[in-house]
Amino acid sequence: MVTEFNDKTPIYLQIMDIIKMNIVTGKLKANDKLPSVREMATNLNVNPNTLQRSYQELERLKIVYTQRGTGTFVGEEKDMVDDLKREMAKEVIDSFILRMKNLGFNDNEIIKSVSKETMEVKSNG
Amino acid sequence: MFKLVKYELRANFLTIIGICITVIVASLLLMTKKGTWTMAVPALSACFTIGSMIVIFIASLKIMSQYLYGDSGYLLFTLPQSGKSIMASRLLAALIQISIVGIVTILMFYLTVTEKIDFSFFKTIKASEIIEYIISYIWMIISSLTIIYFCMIIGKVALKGKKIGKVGSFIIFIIISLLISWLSFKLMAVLPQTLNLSNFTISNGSVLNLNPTTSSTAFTVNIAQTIFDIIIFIGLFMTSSYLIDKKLDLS
Amino acid sequence: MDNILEAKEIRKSYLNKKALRGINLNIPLGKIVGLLGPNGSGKTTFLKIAAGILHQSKGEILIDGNIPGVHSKSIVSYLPDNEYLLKWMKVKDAVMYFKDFYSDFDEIKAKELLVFMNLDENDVVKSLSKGMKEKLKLTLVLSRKAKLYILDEPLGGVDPTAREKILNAIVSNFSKDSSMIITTHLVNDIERIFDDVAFISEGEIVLEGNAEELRTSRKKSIDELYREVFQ
Repeated sequence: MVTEFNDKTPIYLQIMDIIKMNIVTGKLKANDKLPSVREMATNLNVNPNTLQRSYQELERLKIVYTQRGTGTFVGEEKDMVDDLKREMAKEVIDSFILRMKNLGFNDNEIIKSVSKETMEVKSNG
Repeated sequence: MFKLVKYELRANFLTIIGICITVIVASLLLMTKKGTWTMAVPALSACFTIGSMIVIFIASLKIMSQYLYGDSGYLLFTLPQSGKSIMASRLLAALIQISIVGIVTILMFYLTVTEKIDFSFFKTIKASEIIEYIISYIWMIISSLTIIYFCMIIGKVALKGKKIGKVGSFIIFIIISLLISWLSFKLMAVLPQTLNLSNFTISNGSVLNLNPTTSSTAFTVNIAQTIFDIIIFIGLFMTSSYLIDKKLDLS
Repeated sequence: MDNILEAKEIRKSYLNKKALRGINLNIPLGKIVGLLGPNGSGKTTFLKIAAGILHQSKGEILIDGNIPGVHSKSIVSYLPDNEYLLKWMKVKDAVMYFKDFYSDFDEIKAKELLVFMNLDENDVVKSLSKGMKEKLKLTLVLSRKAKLYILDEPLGGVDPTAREKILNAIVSNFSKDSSMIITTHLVNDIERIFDDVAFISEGEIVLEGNAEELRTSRKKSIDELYREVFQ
């Protein structure tokens, strides 16, 4: 598996995003074991220290927890998945709003175009 | 060090075999001409013998040259082996290679030239004489190679560039050889005491000191000269090892 | 943290050229460092000094606290840029050679890597393509449990699929007990395995730092940074 990383932004952040995404979409469930640092580093051809940093950051954010000698596991906090989902959605939305504003849309126009587009997507199946 | 020798011998295995086979085949051809080319046979056979010895000797130099100037040096000089180990293994490997070729070619020379195969003369040689010859032979090969290798290493360390380095080595070799011979000669004149290794007596080596009981094949050496030669050999060997360890730059 | 390599003001001058003009570099254990620069920048010169086959004109370099010599050669695994394999050897002979001379050589790992790289034990070095020779060189170098791996252009002359394999072998070889210093001018392929990078130009280090931090602060990939530095 060779993931296309964007080398312009820190790779450890991109890896964190991938893991968060997997949690949100359900690919990774509570208490699932994450691949070891070494395994994942080898799969992605990325420096193991970078992986380590990603895991450590995720642990700091309480998204994963580590058990010494066993590995790193997805956290089981009740609302974690929903919180993550909301957080990631906010990032997408904030970025979207910024770009729309750059195009010259105001707040109302932004909401109208979103309604229009989602209706169209629905009717197109 | 012996592992190095093992790999050196394997690396040049084909060269040795090649030379031996060439000499054997050429000698066999000559043997068939024994009756017809009576004058040429011994002469040609001698040429093959001397020629093959020269070839293997030069090959021994070429091998060192390749280490110093070519790619194979990268493998050798990154091994965790000391300079002494590398020098010693190269000398030992060269000695073995030259000896193998030597034995084969001299045997072929004898077989080509002799009228009947008669190894009875072996009975007339004393064991001590054989040991003397072997020691002189080993000393001759090892000391001359050491001097040449030393000059090659100095050439590589001190002079930049392949051609300049090789030419420089040659010039240094001439200078050093002359120096050693001159000093040796001077020493012999100043300290003419000799040691007779057959019966361990020391005589003062004067030409007028004719002792009729001394066998003419007695192995006598000038003491001062021998000590000098040994010191020179050790000096050059140690200096070469030091240079390999500390000063050798591979381009 | 213990530094496996410490270089202070390393200079190397030849008759007509100054190859290194004062290199200062410290590499702790457990890091993969990229030494990046164009041809002629001095990176190979520096690596050779670290490997002990070249001696600096001025300055100090210590490998595991020692001057380069027999001891450092036993803990440094060096991959030179040129063809240094003995042509008469078969692949298995080369493996035996390394096994004979390096006590830290892992024969089992070597056999595994040979399979991974699709190399046949019985092939003669002379008959191998350039890419296969590179893979063999790398197999031998990575099969040692060395403390410092010095890889000079490990991806040179190798096609893209082989590059993936080589990068993979390098990453899986990583350990906290050893470090690597890798030079390359193919920065794009390899930048994500570096912890730290140092850009070397005309014998001097012009920029160095942690790769991720450089990405954050400069908002560029290391490859883009490289192009910028070496216009």
